Amino acid sequence: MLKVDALQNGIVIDHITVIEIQNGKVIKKYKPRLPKTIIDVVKCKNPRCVTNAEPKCRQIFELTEDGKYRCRYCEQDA
Amino acid sequence: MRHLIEPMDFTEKEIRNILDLANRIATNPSLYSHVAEGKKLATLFYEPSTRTRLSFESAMLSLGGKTLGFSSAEQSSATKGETVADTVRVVSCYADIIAMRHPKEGAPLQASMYAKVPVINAGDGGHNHPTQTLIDMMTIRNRKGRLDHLKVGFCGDLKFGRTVHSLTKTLMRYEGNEFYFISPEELRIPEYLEKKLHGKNISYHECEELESVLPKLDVLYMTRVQKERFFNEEDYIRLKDRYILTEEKLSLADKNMPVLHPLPRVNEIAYEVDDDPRAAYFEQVQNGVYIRMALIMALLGLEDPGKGEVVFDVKS
Repeated sequence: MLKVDALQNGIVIDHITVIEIQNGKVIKKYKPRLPKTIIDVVKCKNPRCVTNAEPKCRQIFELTEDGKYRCRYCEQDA
Repeated sequence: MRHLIEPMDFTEKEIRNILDLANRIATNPSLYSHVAEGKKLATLFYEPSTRTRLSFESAMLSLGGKTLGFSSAEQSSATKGETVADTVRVVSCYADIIAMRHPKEGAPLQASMYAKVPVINAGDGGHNHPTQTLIDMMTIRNRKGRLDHLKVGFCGDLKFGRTVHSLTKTLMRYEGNEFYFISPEELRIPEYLEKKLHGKNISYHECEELESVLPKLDVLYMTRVQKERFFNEEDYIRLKDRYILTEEKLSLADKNMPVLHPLPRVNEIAYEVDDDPRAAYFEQVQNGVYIRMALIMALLGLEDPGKGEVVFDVKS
């Protein structure tokens, strides 16, 4: 089965559908689920956030109930 | 090992246990004067503070422990470029527990990921101030007898007011609470907090006039417009005197409505209000020492000599 990297595709393009085709035939269609946590994919925009001041800080975002990603450190939206 | 970085780090039961312990300490402080002997608290304050830092230090000394630390970034290795992560790894070798205040939001969270000892967030930028929240809750519960089904008004700087954010997030967990946010448009509560309120279907109102809301409130929480959070001084000057609570305005409120303020105040509460029995802000200061004593005991797993048990399991 083709492995789709949802981290690269699922959050950059919202509501995508993955269609797997083999030998000219559609064998599978599905929507990849958004990951609950993303790390070092996007950068926090808040200038007051520690992630923009500390070199060792990873960029951690958590999926909220309204489908947006929020910075784990300062709780601002991505 | 447990930390207190944000209000949600403790369950409602754990919060209740801490408030109960703080009240027991308040009734008999001398009983607790040796429980932290041999323990050290490090106060790492990267930005100015009077009440919070002294309150933490007083709390630890009152428990029989000792304190060490720094009171500004200029006194710390931050001037040499040391990261928060490295600083707490080092300080973990010197102390049993850390209380950190930092101007960058999320810095205490970062610290908790690297420290080998419990970390308490003593305020991170305009984000959270969970120990102030515990103090506010103790004061409200002692005055009103409950933490649920309250109409709570927050007035002043709600955008950068970390005490407002922390207390709102915590009171949201209790049934039937309704919020009134009184501020100029530029200083409204942050979007993420509005979303949390929406997400939980909690009733809240935003308005600009204090007088119209006062008669409805069970609790009023006043805040200072914080000059240090503004990038632009002109904006600060324009907004700083927007709300001033006077005895005349207070006459519109219920006679049992406590007035809280995290302090320091500038002019948002007139001095004449200090003699009103509803003024609870200096009571908050005293409660602050008891709450911090209870919190230190809880996070260090120290047994309450009055009950012969710990506040909660620190290994979970």
